[in-house]
Amino acid sequence: MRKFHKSFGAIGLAAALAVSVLAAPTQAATNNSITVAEVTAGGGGVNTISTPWFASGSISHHAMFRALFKANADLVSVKPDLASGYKFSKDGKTLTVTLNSGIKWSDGKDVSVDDVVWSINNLLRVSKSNAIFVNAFKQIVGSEAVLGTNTTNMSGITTKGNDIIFSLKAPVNTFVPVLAQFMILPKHVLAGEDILKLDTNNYFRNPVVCGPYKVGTFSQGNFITLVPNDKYEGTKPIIKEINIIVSSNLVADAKSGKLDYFTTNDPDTIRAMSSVSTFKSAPLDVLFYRYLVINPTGPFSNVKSREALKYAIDWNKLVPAIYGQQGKVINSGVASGMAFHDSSIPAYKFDKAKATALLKEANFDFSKTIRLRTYNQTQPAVMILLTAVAQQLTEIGMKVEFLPFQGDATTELWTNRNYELALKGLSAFNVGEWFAEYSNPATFGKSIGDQPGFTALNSQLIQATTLRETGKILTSLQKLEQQNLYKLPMHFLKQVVFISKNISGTPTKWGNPLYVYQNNITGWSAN
Amino acid sequence: MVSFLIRRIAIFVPMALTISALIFFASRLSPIDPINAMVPPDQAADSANLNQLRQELGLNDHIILQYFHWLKNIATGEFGYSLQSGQKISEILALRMPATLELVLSALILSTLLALTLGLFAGANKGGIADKLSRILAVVGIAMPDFFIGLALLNIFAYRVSWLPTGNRVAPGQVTLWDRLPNLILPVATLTIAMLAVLIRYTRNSVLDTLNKDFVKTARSKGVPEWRVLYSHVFRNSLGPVMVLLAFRLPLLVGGSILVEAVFQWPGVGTTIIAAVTASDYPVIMVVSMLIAMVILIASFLVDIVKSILDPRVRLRGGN
Repeated sequence: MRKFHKSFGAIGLAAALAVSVLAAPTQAATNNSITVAEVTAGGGGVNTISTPWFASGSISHHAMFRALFKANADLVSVKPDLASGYKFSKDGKTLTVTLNSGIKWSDGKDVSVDDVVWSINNLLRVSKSNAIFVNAFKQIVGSEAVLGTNTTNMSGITTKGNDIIFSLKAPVNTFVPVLAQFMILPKHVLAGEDILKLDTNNYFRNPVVCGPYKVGTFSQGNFITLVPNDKYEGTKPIIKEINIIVSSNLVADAKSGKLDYFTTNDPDTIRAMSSVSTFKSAPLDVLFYRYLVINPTGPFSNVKSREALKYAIDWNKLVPAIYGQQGKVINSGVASGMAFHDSSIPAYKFDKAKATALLKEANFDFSKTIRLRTYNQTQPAVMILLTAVAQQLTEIGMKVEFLPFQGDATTELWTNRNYELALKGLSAFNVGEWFAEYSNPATFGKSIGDQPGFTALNSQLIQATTLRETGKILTSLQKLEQQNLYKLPMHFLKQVVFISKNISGTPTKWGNPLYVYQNNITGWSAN
Repeated sequence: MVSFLIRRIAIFVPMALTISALIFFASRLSPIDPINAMVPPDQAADSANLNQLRQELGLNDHIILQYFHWLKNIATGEFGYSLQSGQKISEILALRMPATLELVLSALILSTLLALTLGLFAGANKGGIADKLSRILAVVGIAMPDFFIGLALLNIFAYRVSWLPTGNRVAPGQVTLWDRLPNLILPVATLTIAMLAVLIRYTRNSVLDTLNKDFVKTARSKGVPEWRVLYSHVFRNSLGPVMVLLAFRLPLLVGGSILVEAVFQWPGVGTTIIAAVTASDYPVIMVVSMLIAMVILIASFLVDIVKSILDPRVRLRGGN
């Protein structure tokens, strides 16, 4: 028996020794290497780099891809990047962009006007692309020829030497800021590929790029290491390796020094990070909307019943209780505190009696079950918030059924529409995107039909050339929104950048991490 | 024996076809649209292109036609492409399978060695401390789900004392197998504990059963040393039922342990299945499900053959 105990003890000791010998070393950031957590495409770990034509803003996008212009942190003003400058014609319908010479792709080929023209033409031909690009490039003359067809060129883009000339159907005031988000891809690598499936092309596992970094190691499922691109003509980056990983526990990885940078809007992670003294944070006001899509056919067909939702729910208590300072209650697409907010829109006030009166006025059918749905079922904060919303609606006599969508969000929201209220989020590039939803035939259009009022104002908004004009149109849009209430704005959600205190040279003013801007990545250094 | 094999193969083919039909049509009953699932609800501005993609992927064809097309492709080894990553599914499996094999084989070997040793020891010393310990281990292993064991180990060894990594198979800078051995410890330990439980009980009971057999008593009465009785007579004759259990664990080699891989972010077939289900990547779901089903069928086929070799009465019963 003694022998038996001894052998078990010896095995235990050996195991403990083995574990301590093999124990994972903590990797602190140095100028040789930093580690960044990203949500990468493909699922199941690091599979591929997301196409920058769909979602940009990740560090890998900042580090590898380039646009004609580089946006400043406000995402509105721009500086030259691949292009040296631009010029609009007097009528605002012709834009001439001059490409810089001497810029090279990482495979040594020159970046040319052909790459720019190919990229813009093909953005409208891929199956997965960001709406801000689609909406802007649809304004180029001849865009309908390439959308959903096999035609490869729009008549509205021509070149002359290093100049690229865009002919627009009407002036588009956001065209240049949008171009600053649009990453140019190499035509000589991608021209023969199936463009419809570009987002899943093998190119995104080891892309030919023109930014300061390129892929050094791609370990599928594990990590990507970015290394300096020796063909990059600008200032050479200080940090020699950027490791891109997927983290299952951001806080634990940050605490243990295995991570140096990430961004999030998850309230639990943000709260937990307050105990990590080795990190600094930058909470950012971004246009991240959360709102209820209201099905206007059924119990909420009368606008008064939709208005009742402003008063039936104690938004001012629920949102701070769940999101703290990260959440801000909004009563309009142009929230209070933002330029051109319509101050005549009453702030939300919890008033059950008023809600009940409005419902009575609308002849609300209390016998019908209100189906409240979400596609954010993996986010505990959303589930808690909507459970509370369901409870408060029940308190004014409604029968509420709160469930996650069974199918995919796009089909459920816009095709099936088996709900009365559905939570939706929108990470908008500008407020125009919030209002543009009302005119989108592929989404809201299916639910609320043609909206000539919104369409006309949206069209005027993108053509507005002065602040005064913009303000006037935004005020009209807000009034129209309040008259219809097809969607009920709930709150904004701040995005927070977390970065190791070891890293310096980062921007003094961070921009929206969901977009690309001048974040000075080549100047980052780590102690 | 030949007729027994023919009968088994005759059952195998229609079963495989039925399973393939079930997998295909069940995946199509899902309310998730594979094309719409690729884009978030506010990005549907390019619906013309999405419709073109639907056409290109054959999703507008009649469902029966789609099934036979898929079956033909599977039979010819053309597994198709992942909707989510665009990679060839054969390529994904080739990349992910080594990770799963590394994890599952390590756990399978470790759990088998430990279970056989402990089981033999426990059976031979019934009521002794090893027997009690093995029973406690078995109850704990059976009662606690593997993901719970994984989370507990992760909490202690990765988060609290920070001895081991929180997950992943390879971290930047890890080049050799020795470098990445720490990443293997927790997932293998989790899976080993989970596998150990049932196997210990099987081995112990089988040993106890064999110990009561006449040939063991004969060997002892002949004065054969006890260690030799245990090894040559008891242990070898106790392996039959244990081998059957091990054969039924073969499908794990393909499917991996989905939850353990998820807990430790292990980039194997298990996490591929989770990612595919989350993203409605039905071509991947169908191929992996089909592969797992095939391995289960083959494993059960092998078990039948092993059983029939060990016990000819199985063949006779099968014939009747």
